[in-house]
Amino acid sequence: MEITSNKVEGTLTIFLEGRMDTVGAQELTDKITLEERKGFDLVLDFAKLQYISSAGLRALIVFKKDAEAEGKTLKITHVNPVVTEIFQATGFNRFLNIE
Amino acid sequence: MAKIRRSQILTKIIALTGGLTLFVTAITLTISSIVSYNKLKQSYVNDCGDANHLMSGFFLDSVGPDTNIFDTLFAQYEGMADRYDTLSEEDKVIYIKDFNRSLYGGGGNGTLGFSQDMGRRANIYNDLLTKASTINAYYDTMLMDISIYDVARKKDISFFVPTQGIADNPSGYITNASEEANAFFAQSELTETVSSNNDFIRSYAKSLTREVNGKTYIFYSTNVILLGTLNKNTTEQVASELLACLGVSLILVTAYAFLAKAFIVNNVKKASRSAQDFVAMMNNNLPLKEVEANIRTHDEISDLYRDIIIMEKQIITYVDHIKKDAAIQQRMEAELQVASKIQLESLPEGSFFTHGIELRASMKPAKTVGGDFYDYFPIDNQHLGIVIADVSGKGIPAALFMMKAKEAVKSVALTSIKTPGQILYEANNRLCQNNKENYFVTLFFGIIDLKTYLLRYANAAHLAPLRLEKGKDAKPIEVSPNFVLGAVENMTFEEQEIQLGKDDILFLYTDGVNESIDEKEEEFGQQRLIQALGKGASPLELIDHVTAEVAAFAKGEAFDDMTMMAIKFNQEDLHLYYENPTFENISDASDKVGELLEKDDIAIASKAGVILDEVMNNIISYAKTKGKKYIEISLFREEEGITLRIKDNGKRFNPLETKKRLVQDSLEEGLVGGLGISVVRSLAKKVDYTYSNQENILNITL
Repeated sequence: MEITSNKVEGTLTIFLEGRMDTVGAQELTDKITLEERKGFDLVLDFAKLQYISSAGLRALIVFKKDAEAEGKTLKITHVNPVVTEIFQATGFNRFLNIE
Repeated sequence: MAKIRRSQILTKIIALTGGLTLFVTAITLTISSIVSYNKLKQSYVNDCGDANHLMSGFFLDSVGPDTNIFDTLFAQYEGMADRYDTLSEEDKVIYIKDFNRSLYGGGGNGTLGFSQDMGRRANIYNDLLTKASTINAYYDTMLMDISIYDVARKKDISFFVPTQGIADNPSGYITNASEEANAFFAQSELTETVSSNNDFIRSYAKSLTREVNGKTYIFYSTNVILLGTLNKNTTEQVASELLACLGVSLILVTAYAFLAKAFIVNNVKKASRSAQDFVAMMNNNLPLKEVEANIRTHDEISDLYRDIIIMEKQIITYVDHIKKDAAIQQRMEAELQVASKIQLESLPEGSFFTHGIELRASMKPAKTVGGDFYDYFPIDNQHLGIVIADVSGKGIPAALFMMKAKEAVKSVALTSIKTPGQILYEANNRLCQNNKENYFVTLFFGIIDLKTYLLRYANAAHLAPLRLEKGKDAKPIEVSPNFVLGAVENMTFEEQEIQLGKDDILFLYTDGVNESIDEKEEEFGQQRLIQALGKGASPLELIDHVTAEVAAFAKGEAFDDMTMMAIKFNQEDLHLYYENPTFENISDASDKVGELLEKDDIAIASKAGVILDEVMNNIISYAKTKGKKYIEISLFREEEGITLRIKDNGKRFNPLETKKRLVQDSLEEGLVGGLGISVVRSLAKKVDYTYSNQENILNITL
């Protein structure tokens, strides 16, 4: 999975391209460590993300919890229909802030 | 043989009846004593007779020369004797009040009074008093009747002197003496030889001849006459005696009843109680034991009781036997169940997936064990052998022959002999040996080429399998019947072949299916079967549907074993195999699947990728295997959708059994597939799991 990010005014935006599957989720958590995320509101841009599996969902949980612990927010943008379906089926659509 | 002895019961009954008779007799006696009151009186009359003697003796003794008792009497008599006949009736009665008074010395109070100069006759007097008082207890009045003979005038004089009661009015009569009396008393000397009933007269006549006022009189008789009625005391006495009799009778009856109860009724009750309690034990399913009763007599009732005990003991033995029989039967049933299990387990599993083939099979015996079977086995990498067969007969013998037939075909097929016809030839010869019972089997044997889907086959008198081409009705394939297996050696079996295509379904069955009958004895038949198969469905659905249709048709008892095998020939569009899989393999699989599906539908491709990720991740992370772990993936593109089949050789695990988890539950890392399986389920149209041939098989339709 291709992972790029930028930090702008207290917001860390992460762009994902490919698949947030077992491998991808591992890559994400390896690359965007807690250190990286500390003190930032997070935005994950799913525009180029094909799909997400439960491994990826777990990573999102971790990210969200870390953010909330600091009083920061997490937002997901540009989800495709398949990802939407997955979020709905698992109840993540209520747990996450999705635009 | 029962001993015949004198009836004890009868004896008892007779004895007790005797007692009852006594009772009746007592009553009778009482009644008769009332009725024969006169008899009672008679005894007193007898007493009076004695009193009479005494009284007379006393009286006459006291009429001696020294006494003037009769002065008044004779004075009156003399006064009237000569003119008696001329007197009126009234006057003829002589009143002798004075006589009475002088006789009793101031009496009138009911007792005999005597002047003191009678003291010398004290003994007689006392006896008389005793008698008189006894008599007085029952009678109101006694009369003394004194008879005197007037010698000169030849007249008979009778005087009645009451002892009490009507003492004021004594009276008497004068009659002419009878000729006999005249004759009797004419004798101046009365000798001893005078025979007369009146010994009394004889003995007293001499001494009682008296001169009174110069006239001679003979006092010859006194009688005591009883008058009156029984007074109150008598009545009371009789009444009390009656009561006594009744009392005794009551005691007798009570004793009778008591004895009857003790000797007869109680024992009958005890004997019947034994029977009742025993029956109660049986009804309440309690452990059985004979019910003893304490019967100590020796009669027909004790005999009956002993017979009851004997019967109870026999029932206990009988029940024991039945229980043992039931136990034996249960054991046989259990063994039959085990035999059934062994038989079913000797058949391969009901589902098999290999390459593009989905095979489903079902065998339902009519009895616990049956004679039908199906079989399939890989012959080599490219070939799958399939068998369906029907042994003649049902039950254990058919089952045993079935096992032989199955082994024969499979073992031959796995040798170097490769053609179906030859295989059956060999198998037939093997079966014919050691088959003295002459069992035989109809059998269809085929070899499927897994790459080309060419089916080569040989048939031994079995029903032709049905082929469902895509979208068409089922049609039997062309088979030559040849002959059964196991009957005649060296039979040849014609070989045939047919080219099957993608989405074809081959349906094999035994005649338990089409020959099932309903209440009108009509057969299910091949037409109904073809209808039930319709235009095809998944093999599992087909088998289930046909089973249900036949069951509904036959409405109950299966007459014959029912066996079915349905094989779907899918086009495998993708086949992947990973040994010791890693996460990288997941990416590889997703890539390949994605590549294939993207052209049609990107969403489907994505979903397939997610699903692959979930399932493979699970297998890689958690599946435990003995030996090398592998994952085998097949993809089929069909009308209903894409089917992903993912197989692994891990320990048996059905991911569908884990509960649906939502985000709140899945925060613990350790949960296997909790969230993942939810994802799979929600993305797929259909997911089903099978464990077959030691593989976990997930079929996912998108």
